[in-house]
Amino acid sequence: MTTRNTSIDEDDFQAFVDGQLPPEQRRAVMAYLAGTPDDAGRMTDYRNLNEALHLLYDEVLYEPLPNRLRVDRYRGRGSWLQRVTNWFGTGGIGVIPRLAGVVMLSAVSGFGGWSLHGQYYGVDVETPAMSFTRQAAAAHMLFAPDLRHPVEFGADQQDSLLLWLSERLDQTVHAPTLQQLGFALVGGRLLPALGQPAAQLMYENPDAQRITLYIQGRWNAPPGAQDGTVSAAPGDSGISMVYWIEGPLAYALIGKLDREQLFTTAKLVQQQLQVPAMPPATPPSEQTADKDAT
Amino acid sequence: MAETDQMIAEQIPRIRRYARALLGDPIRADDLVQETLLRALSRSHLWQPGTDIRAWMFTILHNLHVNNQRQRHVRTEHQELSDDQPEMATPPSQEWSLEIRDLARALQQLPEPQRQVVLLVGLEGMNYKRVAAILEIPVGTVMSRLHRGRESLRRFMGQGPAERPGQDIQMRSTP
Repeated sequence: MTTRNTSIDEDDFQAFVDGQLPPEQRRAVMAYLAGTPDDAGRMTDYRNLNEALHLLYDEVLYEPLPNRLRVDRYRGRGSWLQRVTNWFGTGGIGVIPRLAGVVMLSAVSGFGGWSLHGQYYGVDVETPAMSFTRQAAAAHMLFAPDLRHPVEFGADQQDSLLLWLSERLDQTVHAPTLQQLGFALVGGRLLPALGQPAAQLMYENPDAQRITLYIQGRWNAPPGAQDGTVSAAPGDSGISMVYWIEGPLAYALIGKLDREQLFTTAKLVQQQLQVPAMPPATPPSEQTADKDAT
Repeated sequence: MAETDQMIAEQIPRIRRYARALLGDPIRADDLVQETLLRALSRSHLWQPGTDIRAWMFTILHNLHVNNQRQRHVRTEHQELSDDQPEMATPPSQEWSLEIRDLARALQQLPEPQRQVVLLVGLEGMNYKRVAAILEIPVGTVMSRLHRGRESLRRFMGQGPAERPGQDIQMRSTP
């Protein structure tokens, strides 16, 4: 069953599957397929094949890069974000001092940080928190610099976006207003995160500086971890991340902000996300953030 | 980091995805990505700003891959021959009875020229002209490889587990 119609050939079928056919020819192919279930089934199979390839390999996009695939290894120091993905992914000897560094920082800053130190020190297993921060960082790295398609839904479709994300995350997703800090909502997208859905909201200020808020269902936190816990790892390249758990969701805020801006922004986000029914016992981080804010 | 370096760095995850799908073996794939990265960095001054940096890096990857294969005495000539063999479509599959993971295996059994095209189009979403430019082949060859590769995979996917004779499926296997 090679082609059977004078005007439509096999190339047209392939181009039809790949959306690379001009509208007119596309209509001709569709009309032809309506009467030929065999070929129509074949087109569906080809489409499914494309989708299956993504299912198979897209997770590579979110894997942490080993050192040897990082530009900064060959060209001086890289961004903090690239290093964060490395902390959490490469395992082995390199992880220990760096992880300890994160914990130290939390302790010094007076945050009620995770006791990653005690629980996971030296264990080459990715904890939910590591996985979460790694994915949040990877998503920021991938989409924040994107000029053409940074988001799937733009801010002009905010309602549809939030409805969609809420449905997929099975939790109400809000887009906090950060206008008072100069950041306007660009939009957002849905992302795969190790078998569960995650959302990314992107904001931009007039200087075209972008920050992202990454949201995912919470994991079972280790004992002692409180809702509202904040951990942070500001980097010397200026890009930092804060993450915390609030109710059923975990949040990470990522951007090229100094520590003070980061916490001011995170606090503004938290204020808007907090469910009135469960006022958090003011964690130490809030006090710090308060100080930073003033 | 210089702007071009940054742009190169941003392409690495996608380059890595493609290399993994092309070669199957994650270590060998990362070897190829590393070579590509080093080459791109050492020649970043040759990249024309305003042109597609992704296509540029994929071209580098392919040139390196071809060189590696020559060094490893892989028989690519034979694979090229298969492009001209007629391939008839089979009736459409009843269902995709296959575990998605088996697709990875099927993909590795495709002749590499077909695998490249199937991946550049299906996974990377590139248009045919760009694929032709990267692989340095005519668009017509892209199309015939695409058709053949997809048809082989489709036949494989359409078979029930019982019909699938283990490793050696009735696909044209690489010599």
